[in-house]
Amino acid sequence: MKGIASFLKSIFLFKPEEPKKPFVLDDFEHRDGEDASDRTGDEGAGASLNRDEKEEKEKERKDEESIKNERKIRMVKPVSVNSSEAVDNREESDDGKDEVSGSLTTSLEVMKKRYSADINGDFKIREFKVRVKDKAYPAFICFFDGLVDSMVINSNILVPLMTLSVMPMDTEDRSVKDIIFSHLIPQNQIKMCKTYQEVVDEINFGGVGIFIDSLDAAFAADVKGWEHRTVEKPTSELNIRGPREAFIESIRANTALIRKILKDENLIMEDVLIGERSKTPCSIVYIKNIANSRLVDEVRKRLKSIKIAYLRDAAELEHFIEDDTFLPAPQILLTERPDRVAAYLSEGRVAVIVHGSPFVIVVPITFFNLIHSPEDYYLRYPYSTMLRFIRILGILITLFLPAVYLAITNYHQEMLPTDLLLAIASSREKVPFPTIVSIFIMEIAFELIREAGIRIPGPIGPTLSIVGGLILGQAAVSANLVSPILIIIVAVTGIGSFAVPDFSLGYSFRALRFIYILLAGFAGLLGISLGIFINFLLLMNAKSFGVPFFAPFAPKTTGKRTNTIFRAPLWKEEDRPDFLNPKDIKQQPFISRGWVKSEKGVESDGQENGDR
Amino acid sequence: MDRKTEIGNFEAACILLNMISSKIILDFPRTVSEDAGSAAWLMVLLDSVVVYLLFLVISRLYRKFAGNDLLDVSEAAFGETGRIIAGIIFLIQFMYITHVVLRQFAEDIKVISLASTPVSVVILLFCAGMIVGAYLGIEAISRLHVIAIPLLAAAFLLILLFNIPRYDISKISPWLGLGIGAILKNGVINLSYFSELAALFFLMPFLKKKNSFGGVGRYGIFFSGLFLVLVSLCYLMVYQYPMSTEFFLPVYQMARTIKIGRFFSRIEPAFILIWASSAFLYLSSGLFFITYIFQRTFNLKYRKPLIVPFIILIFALSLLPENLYSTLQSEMHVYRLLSWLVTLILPIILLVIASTRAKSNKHREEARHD
Amino acid sequence: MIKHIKTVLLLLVTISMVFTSGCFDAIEPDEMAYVVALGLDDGTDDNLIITLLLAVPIAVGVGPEPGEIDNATNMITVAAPTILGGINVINSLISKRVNFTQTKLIVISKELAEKGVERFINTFIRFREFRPDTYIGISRGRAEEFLKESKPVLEINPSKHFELVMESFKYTGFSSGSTIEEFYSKMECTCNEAVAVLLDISQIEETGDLAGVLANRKNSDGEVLEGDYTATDMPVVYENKVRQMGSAVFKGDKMVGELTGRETFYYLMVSGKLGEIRYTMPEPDIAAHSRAYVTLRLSRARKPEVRVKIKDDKPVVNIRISLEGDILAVTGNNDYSTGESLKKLENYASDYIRRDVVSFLEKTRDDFNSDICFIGKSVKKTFLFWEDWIKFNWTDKYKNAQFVVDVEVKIRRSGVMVKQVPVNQLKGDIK
Repeated sequence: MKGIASFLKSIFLFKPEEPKKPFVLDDFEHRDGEDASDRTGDEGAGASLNRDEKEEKEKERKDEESIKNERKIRMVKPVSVNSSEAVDNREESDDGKDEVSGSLTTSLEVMKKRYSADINGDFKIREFKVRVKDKAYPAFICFFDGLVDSMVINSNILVPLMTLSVMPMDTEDRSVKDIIFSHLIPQNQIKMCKTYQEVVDEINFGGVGIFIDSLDAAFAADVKGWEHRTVEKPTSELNIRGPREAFIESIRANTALIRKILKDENLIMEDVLIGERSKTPCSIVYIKNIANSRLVDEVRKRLKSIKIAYLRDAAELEHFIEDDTFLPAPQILLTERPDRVAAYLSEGRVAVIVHGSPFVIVVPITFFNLIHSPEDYYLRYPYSTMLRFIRILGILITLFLPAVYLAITNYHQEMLPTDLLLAIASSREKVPFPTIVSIFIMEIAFELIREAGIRIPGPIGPTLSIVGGLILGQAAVSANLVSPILIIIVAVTGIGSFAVPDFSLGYSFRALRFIYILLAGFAGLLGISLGIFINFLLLMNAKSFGVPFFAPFAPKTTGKRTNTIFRAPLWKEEDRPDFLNPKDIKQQPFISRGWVKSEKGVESDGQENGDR
Repeated sequence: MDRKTEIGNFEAACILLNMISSKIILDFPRTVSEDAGSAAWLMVLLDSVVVYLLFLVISRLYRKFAGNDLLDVSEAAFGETGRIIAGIIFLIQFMYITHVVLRQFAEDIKVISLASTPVSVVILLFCAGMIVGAYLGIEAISRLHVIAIPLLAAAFLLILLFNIPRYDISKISPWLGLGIGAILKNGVINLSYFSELAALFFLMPFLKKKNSFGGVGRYGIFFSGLFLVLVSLCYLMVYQYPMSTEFFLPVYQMARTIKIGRFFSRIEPAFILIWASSAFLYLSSGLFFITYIFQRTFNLKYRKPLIVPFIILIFALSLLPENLYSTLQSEMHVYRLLSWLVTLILPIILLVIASTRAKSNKHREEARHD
Repeated sequence: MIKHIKTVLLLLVTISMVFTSGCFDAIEPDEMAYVVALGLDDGTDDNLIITLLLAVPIAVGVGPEPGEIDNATNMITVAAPTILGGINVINSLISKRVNFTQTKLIVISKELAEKGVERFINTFIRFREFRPDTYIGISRGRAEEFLKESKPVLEINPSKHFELVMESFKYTGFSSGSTIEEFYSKMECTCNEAVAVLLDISQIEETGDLAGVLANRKNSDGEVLEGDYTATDMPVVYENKVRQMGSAVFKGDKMVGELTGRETFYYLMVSGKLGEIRYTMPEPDIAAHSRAYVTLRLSRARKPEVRVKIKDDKPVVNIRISLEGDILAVTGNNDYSTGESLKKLENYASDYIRRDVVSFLEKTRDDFNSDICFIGKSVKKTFLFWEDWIKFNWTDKYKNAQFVVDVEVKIRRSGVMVKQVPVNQLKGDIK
């Protein structure tokens, strides 16, 4: 239909030839648009069509394509068929050759144009002269003000090049490039770049580009020095005992925080760049002789195959690499504590650090890792067992309490003791809403208070939340809009949801709660059991990077199940988790406390047969 | 499925345990006490022992065909027609038991708590769970079994424990009940209570180690026999014959009278959660087996599209009986007469024929070589 | 398009679930009227008079201050041939739905019980709402009067009141806790018969009437010990006129007689259900005739052993009862706390109880002809086949039974005092 309409339109309504609309991003240069449409024409229309029909076809396509198709082509566009050479293709379409030219003026022109130096306010260029082998070469450095540490540039780059080059050194039969590179730039991270793109990449991330006349290479030094947070206490995973450092937004600081805990030369941090525009540096972190290499390959494969324009945060990366988007539980753990990441790494898991994000991704995880808190390891064994038990109780409460209340009071009244039942009945005498409606009202009000409380500024915030909750609740009871028992239930449910250590899992429970309430209103405890059945079936079916989600329990692995629901004392945890298939499964010997053995070899704590 | 699904031994044993023991929470104790009076537990004990021994025979014969399910065996025995016929027989058996159990569970829940809901709505609720379970396949179902069955077993034992003050050994007297003849005759027919053992023969290809089905079967039969004997024993110790033939949900009745102080009485709706979970697990495994048998019988490529037609069939069948008990009981009579033959005798026959055929083939091969 | 169909269908299903929830079976707790007690009387022409005692939630629970409604219960009576049909009639006039799940007590009048209770008990067992642990009581007068006069005084919650009153048998022993299911189980058993609690309304207005009541009950020794009467003759003055004491004995499903409170003690002892009782008996030194009593706390030491031998079609029943207890009080001058006197007390107690138990058992055999003490259980154990047991017909043989009882009482402790020095020993006889 649409084809006929546009055909008729093109016949009866004369339209001058439209300039070719670039159908990718608006700041795409016109040259590129030409090339782009040429390429589309070659691919899509085929060689047999003549130019007019080609234009018509393109017009039609531009007219009738939905935004989705445009986006698709937009995505494919700059990369084209040989997508692995993306960066170089773009350079080719720009200049043909990107090599650093020997002429300083050319380089200066290229840099200025590349960075639109006349409008880019923080791009700085400093020209100076370098004296090498009794000849003064003009040179310039270019950098982004604010991204670099000026003191380092001054003292390690400008001062040596401008002044120290007069110091005597052995320069007889070496090239200028070599002399400058080896002697004159005492900076610990410096790269010799043959193409402009390498220099540009370095400058974009806090480097300084050094161009010297008559050299066919440029230098790029790493002088990062932007403003960032200092290492502070973690905000979301608080603890009383144990270290209190948290990751910050800078990748090298984060890798350092991990490395200073695991001083292992087998700890590998592989670099990956994700994002076409943002080129966010990410690190795949693992311990080479523990982590399963197939797992590392899988992580690498997934990360390298992501094609997006701009990666903001580790949480966004989570969306791209998780197995199942619609599962009501996260399959990836995000943590901001280095000690936790180090513990997971030494079990054989893989971590991904994203620059600009204070959260680090840990894969693969099981459901039980989501209900562990880092403090479990820093408390003594009996307390941490009790705490885990309370946490599980909190999870059950937050998921099931309103639904069970609804089911019992509406369907199974005989379960309640008579006193309680009469109390509930009498408190409901004056309430106009049925129970399910008042539960929904209270739950939604509670969620609103919670959501709004995040955004209330300053000191008013917590006060208003508390006051709002209390007074709203009290006023609602006095106005006989809800029954007082319901306030207690909703409050306890809300408190229970904070007991879930993992942020993402807490959200999933908050959402699932409503589904359970609906099911309970429909069919009482039978509806709840249907919900539990389907929910757990979906969870059991899930996998996180090849590891089944309920791993030590659901497929019954042969390893010990010490650290799932309840912990074992640390000296008993001899094996790494079996489902990760690490290369080396033993992390502690059987007797990990040497002092337990007496000289004769018999354990001195009285157990003749040991813990076998 | 490009990747082969595998389930472990414990999971397969849990599936078997659930399928055979689900009838505890239906009217199993009542019907056995109808058959054998106060010696019902004795009859169930003898039945378990007989089934165990028969299974030992079957597993010995099966060793040659490890890793192949019963349809492959019947193909080896009688060729393609044999496979189709055996498949249809087992399909009918599974469909029968699934729809009868579905209707029973729905009716029981209706009596316990949802009295005014139309039975079709309750059956629909169960069907929703069945569809999800059968869709996700045996791997997910078996993993859920691993977590759920120990809890269900613990809850069941809790009911039995809480009733200890009411147990009275003299209620099991007279010791041989309605007579040895009744015990033996009804005992043979009541071997059908173990007819869900057929599920094990279809789980064989999924087991990780080919030869472990023997252990799985033995454990499954042992524990399910233990539970069946326990429940009939405890039920008769609380309600003597002939009062024991009156209650329609025996374990529910036992759970009703649990009273720990003034506060913890009347907690039997909590057991609805547990029984409904057992029901869901049973029914979704049943639907999985039905679709799986159908797929394997006719060598179809995909299993999942079969779910919708079969669920509609089962839903319609389960609504067929008009009034609950008399009709269900007469249906169960028919089933009980025949299904022990299907589950216990037919595999032996097939295995014997298949192994003789295999042996004769081998002889022929050897003869040809010479 | 197909993708959207799935989400649309799912939405439809969810929304329809929201709107239909409440259509089936979801009843708000304040839409139901909870029955605390149920009374059954005999009406004219096959009709029953059904009395319901409904709890008023506002008086009991949170909400407006309790005390605004002075009556925590409401009573309503209907005449109908069947119980549930009558409830249907009641449902049409009160604002809420009648719900039996909180019923604690069912009172059946004596004349109705003598006609046979099977038809009601079957309803109670079959209908899901009746809990198996609801107590059954037989009232001498009309059940309606009984329920009208019962006013909880020590608490507001009427169901708690009934429940606690009925549970008192665990520590008084004056009645046997008969719940629906126990009653039904005993009724349907081929080897014993059922009992139920005996209830009545007191006619005593003031303390002056007490003497008259007791005068009617004097036994051969001229003394009326505690519990030696049924609910009708209890010498108690109390605001709440409800009385509970003794048991009603059934044969099959018809009531055939009554037991006094003390006889219920013996019933509990023989059937092995003794909890803890406070037992008064005259002191061993009868010569004193000084109306001195000893109060013991007795409880079961071991299960009673019952052995039955059949001699020429007559059962000879050997019962061995073991009790243990403490001395709670001694009113006379003799001190039985230690040594020889203790042994004397034990022997006397054993003999005294033994005599009473035998007379109780003979009363069940002669007056009631119903084996309520589970003696048939021991007989049934000796049978192998069901048909043989049915042919044996124990219920017929019971009337020829002979009882040989052996009671053994062991006194373990004697309260806080080990020795009691009587006053007249210190100060001489005070004339």
